[in-house]
Amino acid sequence: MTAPALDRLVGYADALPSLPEVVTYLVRALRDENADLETLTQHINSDPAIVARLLAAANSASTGVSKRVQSVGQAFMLLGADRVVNIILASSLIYRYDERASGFSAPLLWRHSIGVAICARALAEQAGINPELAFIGGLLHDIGRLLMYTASPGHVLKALDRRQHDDIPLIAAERAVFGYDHCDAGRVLASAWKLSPDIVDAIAAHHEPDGYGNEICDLVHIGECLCHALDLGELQNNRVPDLSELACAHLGLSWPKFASRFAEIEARFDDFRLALGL
Amino acid sequence: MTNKQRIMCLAPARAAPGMVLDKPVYDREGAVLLTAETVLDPAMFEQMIRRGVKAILVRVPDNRDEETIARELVDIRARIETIFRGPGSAARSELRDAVLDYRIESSR
Repeated sequence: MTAPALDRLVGYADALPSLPEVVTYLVRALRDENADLETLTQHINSDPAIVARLLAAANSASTGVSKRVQSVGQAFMLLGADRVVNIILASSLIYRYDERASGFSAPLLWRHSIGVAICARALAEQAGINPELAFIGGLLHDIGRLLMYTASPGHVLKALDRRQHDDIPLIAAERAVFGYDHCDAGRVLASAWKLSPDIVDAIAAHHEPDGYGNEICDLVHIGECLCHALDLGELQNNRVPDLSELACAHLGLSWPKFASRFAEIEARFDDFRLALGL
Repeated sequence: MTNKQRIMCLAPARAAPGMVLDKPVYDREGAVLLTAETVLDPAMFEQMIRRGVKAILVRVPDNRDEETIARELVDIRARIETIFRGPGSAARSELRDAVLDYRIESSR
């Protein structure tokens, strides 16, 4: 059987659970400077499952807060808005898409995505670019893999086998099996989910950002390479993808200088993994 | 046994009472929260977490012998070689060198 064609992939997007409403709201609110904490809290409170996970994460060992966090408002006060928003985004995605099969594990994919999100965020902070957008781009960069798995798990496992056997990059293995890769599939799903154009591009371009002229694309691409380089998430057959000279030049990135933040990135990653139980 | 110490970077929640700060801790606004050489106690962990401190540098006793350290360095180089296998851009090589230096520095 042949793999589903790229233009038919969007038909499988319905088989994936839709993004929780609060996540779509948060993605919009992060771009809107007028969004206030009260409205944000109301939206979060509209989804009891998300409130439960936020409070669980806020009370987990990693936060070390001795007083129990009992409300969303308290979580904002104790952890800060950035951290609350990121915990909600990450935990709602992880719990909603929890596919596991031999050779494919969504939790592993999320662990890697959190790593990329944290790297992209730190790079954005350094470059003076919106760090939350970079975080979301990193968190969502591999969603194309979920869509491909939903459309045809057999072909995904075949591509993973091929990567392992020939020791080639995943996108090369996917192209050989599907005729396209998870960046193309990610663009399809991100467009179906009506994510912002920046994020759609960042997902589509995370392996080849040149030509997009979009800072979020550059950040997610470099974040991906850095996440592999720092071995975050204990990936099988980890190999650092090729790194775009142009993307690094756009951000004025100097690795010897940026290396002073490696330790902080590793600590943030550990913190997130603990909070999310990944 | 020597009194050698090593510097470790930890999230505040991972630190233990009695550890000594190697570098001052700043909050998100850049104000000094704790000075270098402070001996940490549990109240300080909570304070750092509340103020959004992500990572701190502490000194801990280093009980490793020379042979262990040398073996660790060999493993570090091998791991970096493995994950950076295959061809790549000059930027990728710079990233490799930065990560290698960082790993070697952290293991000393």
